[in-house]
Amino acid sequence: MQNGSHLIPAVQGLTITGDTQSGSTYDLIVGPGRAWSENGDTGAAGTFSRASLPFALVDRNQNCVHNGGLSFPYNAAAVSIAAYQVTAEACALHQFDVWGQLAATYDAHGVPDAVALENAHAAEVGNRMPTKPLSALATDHPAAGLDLAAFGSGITPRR
Amino acid sequence: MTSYGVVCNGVNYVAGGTSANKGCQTRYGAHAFCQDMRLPSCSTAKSAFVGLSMARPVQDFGPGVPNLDLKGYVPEMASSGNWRTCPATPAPSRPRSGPR
Repeated sequence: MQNGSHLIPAVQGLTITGDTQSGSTYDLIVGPGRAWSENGDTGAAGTFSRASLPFALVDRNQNCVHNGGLSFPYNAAAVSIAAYQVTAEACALHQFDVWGQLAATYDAHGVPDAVALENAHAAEVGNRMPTKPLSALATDHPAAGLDLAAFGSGITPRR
Repeated sequence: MTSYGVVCNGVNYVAGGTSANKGCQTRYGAHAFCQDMRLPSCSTAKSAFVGLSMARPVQDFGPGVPNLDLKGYVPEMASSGNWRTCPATPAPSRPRSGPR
């Protein structure tokens, strides 16, 4: 569902897909995203908003999660094709990039317990632990003598 | 590595995080939804769970708990020859594919 610029999946956490297509070994996690408008999203087909949200493909019976994003223009009556990209994972042994476009369908309707979902999402976001850049650890604790370089030694976006 | 950092005194210090959404690296730049990126901890969680689960009975029943034979407490193990000498904390084995 949409609350302002926030997209809130009614079902979060691990979704067992039950997909038995040949070679498919993934379950699914969909996370909250955002919606916005861009000038280029108005054309002959009408005026659209743009949605983007994170998702994760979860290996069955294996310790790996593949993280990606999904984006698509939509309005009250229609949706375009959806573009997706998977660019990171939480394991060393099963790394790959995936991207593409898929046909999408859209059925605008009311969401049961919408207010409860909105409130739950707002509470979850509001109660998150405060975040700072790692560099602030040394400035917040100057007497600790921290060597911050040691935390990221050998770490790259790929490894 | 997608994301790493340190939690200290209730603050999450995130590497590469000049803002909340810049701390999750991918092969093609920062992930757009770092705060909502799902990163199940997999083997890290299993390791933490085992350690904490063992710490509590040690606290309650003493330091000998890790060396107790499990077959004395699990009937199915007692009836199997494969578990005759398995203590509560056997030597660790490397997971087939751990988290990063």
